Amino acid sequence: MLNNNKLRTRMERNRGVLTGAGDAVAFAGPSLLLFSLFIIYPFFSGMHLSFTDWDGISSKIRYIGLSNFTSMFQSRVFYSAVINTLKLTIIVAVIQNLLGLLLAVLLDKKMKGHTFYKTAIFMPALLSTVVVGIVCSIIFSPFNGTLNTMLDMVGLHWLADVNWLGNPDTALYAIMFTGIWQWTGFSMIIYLAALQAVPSHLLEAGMIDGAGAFRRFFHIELPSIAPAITINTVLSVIGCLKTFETILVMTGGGPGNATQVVGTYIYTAGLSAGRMGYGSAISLVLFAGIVLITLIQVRLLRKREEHL
Amino acid sequence: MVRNSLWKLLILCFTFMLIVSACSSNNSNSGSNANSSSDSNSNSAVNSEANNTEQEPPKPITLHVMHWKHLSKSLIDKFQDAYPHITIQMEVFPVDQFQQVIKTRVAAGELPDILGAQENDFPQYVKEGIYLDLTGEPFLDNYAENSMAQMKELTPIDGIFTVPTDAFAIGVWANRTLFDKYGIPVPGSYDELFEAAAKLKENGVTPFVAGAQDGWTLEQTMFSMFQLQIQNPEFYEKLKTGETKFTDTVFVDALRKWQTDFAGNLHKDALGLSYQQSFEVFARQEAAMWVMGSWATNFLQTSDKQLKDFDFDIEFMPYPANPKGTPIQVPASLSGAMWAISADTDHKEEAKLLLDFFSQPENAVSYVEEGGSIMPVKGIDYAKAIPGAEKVLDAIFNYPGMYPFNARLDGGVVAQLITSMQNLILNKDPAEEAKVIQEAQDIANAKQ
Repeated sequence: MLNNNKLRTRMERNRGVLTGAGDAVAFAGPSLLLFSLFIIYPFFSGMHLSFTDWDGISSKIRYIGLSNFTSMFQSRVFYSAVINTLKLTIIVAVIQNLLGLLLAVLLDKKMKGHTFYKTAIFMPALLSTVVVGIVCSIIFSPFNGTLNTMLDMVGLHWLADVNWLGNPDTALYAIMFTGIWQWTGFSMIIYLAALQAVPSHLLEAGMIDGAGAFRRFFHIELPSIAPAITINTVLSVIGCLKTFETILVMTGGGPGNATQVVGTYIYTAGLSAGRMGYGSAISLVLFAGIVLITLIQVRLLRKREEHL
Repeated sequence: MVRNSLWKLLILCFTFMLIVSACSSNNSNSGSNANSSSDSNSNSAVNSEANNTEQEPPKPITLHVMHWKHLSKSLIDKFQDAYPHITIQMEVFPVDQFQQVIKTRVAAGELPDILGAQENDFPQYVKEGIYLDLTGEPFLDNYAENSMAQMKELTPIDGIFTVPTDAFAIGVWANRTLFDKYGIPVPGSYDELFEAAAKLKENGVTPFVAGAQDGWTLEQTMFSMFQLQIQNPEFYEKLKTGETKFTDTVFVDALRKWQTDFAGNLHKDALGLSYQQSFEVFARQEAAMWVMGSWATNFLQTSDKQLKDFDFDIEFMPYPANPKGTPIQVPASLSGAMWAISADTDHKEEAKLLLDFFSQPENAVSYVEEGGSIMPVKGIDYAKAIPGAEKVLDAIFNYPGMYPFNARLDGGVVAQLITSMQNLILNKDPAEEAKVIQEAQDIANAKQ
């Protein structure tokens, strides 16, 4: 009885300590400071710049109201960049998730050498995006490129002549391929972890009830990994909307503007053309777009999770 | 209680951000005020080294150098041996991304001590006080007078803010063996160049290759646009005042000519080739001409600086953009790419020591030998320093030159011009492209 009282007193004291103002500052302060410094401050700074004509060098900054936004919505390159970004996002996110899920299901079967396959498929996600871009530029190069050399060797001469990165009809798809190759392993690992967490008794119950492999997958495993689908879809969509380095390294947004996406357009307009204010305005619109798409996505997927 | 602590936390964050902002504005202010050639602290440090050995040895410092060209290890070592208290930290970025990187550093107030200076943005950087004024520095006398004169002409205000390190000329690197095989003479005008291209094409040879994926390489191929500069030397300068426009018929015609004459004779894979790869295509004789600057002489050399053994004769032909019956005018620069000292640096005198070191003929010649650069320092025997560069030197020093118009355009206009040229290769309408280039020019004019 006495011990219980002591314990209760200690717990109450602890609770008091943990809710104290000093502790809140001590725990949250450092991360909040870093968050303020690296996220909040640049965000507001960028927002402020988007209403100016700053060129990135000049000490004079003029407020120009909404002019940057007006020019942006009048620019053909901006619309072309938005269309390319959406095209890339939809195709890459869908294929990356479907392929990742398929590979996760296969590797979940513990086939021979599954650890090797898992590592090999996940490996590109660990590489720097710039390195992946350079490697893929070499693969897709029309000059002794690995892909065309292989296509030629297997007799697909008509395909071996394609200038993958230099042709506006194929360049964006080559970049999509690179994105899928790099990030499918990442999605696969999340799906695999989720699949391995599916309670075995559910699968056994399904088997006893006579459910085949397909029915077990669609009616037991898939609903159980719904949160993994949500997180993977959200992450892949955000990643695709922010695509930048791969394109900068592989095509620089060209040929022409064939692979220009919003990320590279910010760089071209803001830094190359010396229109930091305009670049900041595009960044702000990209940010708003990502927030909006993510909110819609999360809401829809959460509803779906509840339904499953 | 919780609300109170939340307020405290917010106030703390806000104060922190204010401090950060205050620090950054302080940096930029000091940058703009520091544009003076005298710095008492640094001066005293160096004077003490030179004149008074009894005083304390100078403090070790690191000079941060940023450029798109490597400085060789042997040169850096030689400098560090001469000035043991100085360590050189070299940061190299690709030439087509250099300005973007520098802009981010300017914005962050994090400029290196010494930096490369490119022609397009150079006047604005000078006006903004980003470079240190070098007027009166003794080492400036080591540079060729004509180079210094050209550089002064390009500088928008009084003073000398940079030193020239890479004079250049643009020309046509041609497969002379193929030209001889089909009896094609060295073209002496625009028309002769494209007659040669037609003859090569008739014989199944691709006339031109360019590394159009690296957009900047297309700037060297603007034959018809350089012809406009010859015929109307004021055209491109007047764009800045709005007296001429890219949408004027003369320029649209120049774009159209470029599309039919040059892009129509270009290697089919050009848009997928990089600068390096385009030379390799030329070296494999898959195209007869590669239009590029004199800086490409380093492709002719082996790693131990001997002349490479090609299966054919390579000749650097002076740039034939001139109309028939008129003399060739080579797009060239005697000042070329430049080096500058950041006005913000804490090591002004040490940075000057490095520029002084490079301006000494015995060191400049090493720079020339190692990088194939025509560093315009008096007393260098370039022909000896760069094997196989005789024709290049001839084009730079002996032909009538014109300063390339594109080097004086705003960076944003050049970026759009390059994109438009890629579009022209893809058969887009020259008139439409001219409109977009003019839009970029309008934006640049509004910035002034």
